[in-house]
Amino acid sequence: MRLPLLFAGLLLTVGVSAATPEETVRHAMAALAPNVKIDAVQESTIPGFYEAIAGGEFVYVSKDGRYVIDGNAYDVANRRDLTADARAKVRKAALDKIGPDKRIVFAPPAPLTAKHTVIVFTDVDCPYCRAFHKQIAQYNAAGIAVDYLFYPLTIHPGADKKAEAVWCSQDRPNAFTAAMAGKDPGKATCPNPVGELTELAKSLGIGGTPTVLADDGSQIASNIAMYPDKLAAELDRREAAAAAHN
Amino acid sequence: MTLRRCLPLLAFAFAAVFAHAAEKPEDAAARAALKGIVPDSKIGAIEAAPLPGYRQVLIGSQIIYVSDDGKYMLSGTLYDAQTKRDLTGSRLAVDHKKKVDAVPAAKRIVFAPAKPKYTITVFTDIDCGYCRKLHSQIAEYNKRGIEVDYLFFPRSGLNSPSYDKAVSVWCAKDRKTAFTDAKAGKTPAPAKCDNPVADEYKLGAQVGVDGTPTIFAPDGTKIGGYLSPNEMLAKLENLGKATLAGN
Repeated sequence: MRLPLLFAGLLLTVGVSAATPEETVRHAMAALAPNVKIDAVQESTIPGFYEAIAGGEFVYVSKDGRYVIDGNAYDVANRRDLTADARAKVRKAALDKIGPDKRIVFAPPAPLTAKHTVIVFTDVDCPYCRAFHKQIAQYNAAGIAVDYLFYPLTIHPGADKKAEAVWCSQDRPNAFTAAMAGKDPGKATCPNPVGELTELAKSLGIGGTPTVLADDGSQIASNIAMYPDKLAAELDRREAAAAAHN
Repeated sequence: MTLRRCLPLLAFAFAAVFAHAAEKPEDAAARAALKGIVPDSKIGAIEAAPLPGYRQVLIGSQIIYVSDDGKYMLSGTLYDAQTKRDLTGSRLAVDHKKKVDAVPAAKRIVFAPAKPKYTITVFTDIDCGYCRKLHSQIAEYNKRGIEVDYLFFPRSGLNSPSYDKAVSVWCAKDRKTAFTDAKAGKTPAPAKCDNPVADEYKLGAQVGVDGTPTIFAPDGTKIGGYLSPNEMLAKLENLGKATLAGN
C-alpha cells in the first residue's frame, strides 16, 4: 500500500515542476491583472526570475510564481539597466520588420550624409512632435536621418484621419511638413499603415509622442532628443560605448 | 547634573558606532550597490524584503530591492500574487502613516462629520482645479463618514502666489471659511502669521506628493488624486486589494 502513495507523491512533484515559464507567469499575472495580455516570457538575467512583457510593459516574476515586480531591473556590477536593454532588443526586432514603405523618411539631402538614423513615433496634432519637425533641417544637418512612424494618440481626436490623409497625398514628405505646420491635410484615403503602426507602438509600450529611438531600439529622453546638437552628441556617445562594449 | 545630561548623548554615540560596525553584510552590500548606481541617493531604512533573498532599501518615497549579494537591483512595485497584495505600497504606507500622523490636528484644516468612519489626509493647493472640485463636494464626503484633513502643498513652490494664498487662509480669523471661500475662487485677504505651510510642503515631498490633490488613506496608503465621494468611499472600503497599475 505504501508504493502507490509514494508514486502519487512523485507524480505530484513532477506535475508541479513541469509548469512551463509561460504557465507560471500566466498564473501569477492572472491573480493580479486578469485582463493583461502576456506577449513574451523568457529567462531573466536575474537568477530566480522570469522576464515577461505584459501589456507592453516589462514585469519580473519569481520562478515559484509568487512574486511579481512591475518595474526595472539593474545589473549592479556591469552598471546595466537590464530592462532598458531588453526593451531595446524587443523594439529593434519589431522595428526591423517595418520597411521604408511604412515610414516617412527625412534623410540628409546630398551632399550631407547620414551618420545616424532615429525612428520617431509621431502625431500630427502633438505640439512637441511639431516642435521636433520644425527642426528637421538641423537634425539632417547634424547627420541624423529621421524615419517617422505614425502614432496618432486617442487624446487627439481626428489625428488618425489626418495621418491617413498625409499618407495618401501625392507628395508625402511635403504633406507631412505642411500638416506639422498646422495646415489641414484634407481627407484623402487609401490603404495605409497607420492602424498597424498604432498597434505596434502600443505593443512596444511606447507611452507618448514624440518617442525617439536610436537604431539599436534604445529610447532617447526627450530633453536630449528635442535638440539636434544634443541628439547628435548622444548618438555618437552611444555608438562609441557600444563599440567599446563589443 | 552634567553627567545626567551627558550620558544619554554618549550612549547614543556609542549606539550609532555600534550599529554601523554591526551592519549585516547583506545590508552593507545593498548600500554599496545603491551608492554605485545612484551615488547621491539619500538612503533610509535597509531591511529584509518580503522577497526572499533580497533587502529592501527606502529612498525618499521609493523602495529599491537589492539581492543579498549586492549583484542585482529591482525598482518598481512588488506584488504578492498569492495574497494579491501590493507589498511595496503597503511598506511605504507604514512609512507615510508615521510621517503624516506626526502632524497634529492643530496644524490641519479639518472638515469632519459627527462620527467619522475614515479620516483621509489631503495635500491641497488653493489654485488647483481638482482640489477645488473635491472641496466643493466636502459635505458629500462628510455625509459618507469621511473626515477630510487638509495639509497645504502649494504646487508651484514656496515663492508662489498659491503659497501666499495658503498662508493668508491659515492666518485668517475664520480659517475654515477663508479656506472654503478661497477654494471657490475668492482671493483671500493678505495676512501673515506663524504657519505650517512650508513644513507641510516639505513633508509632502518626503511622502512622494508630486501633484495635488494627493490623498492618503488612514493606513498611510497613497490613494492618489481626486475621487468622487462614492469612489472615495469604495476605495476606503477596499483598501489593501492590489491591482497592477494600469488595469
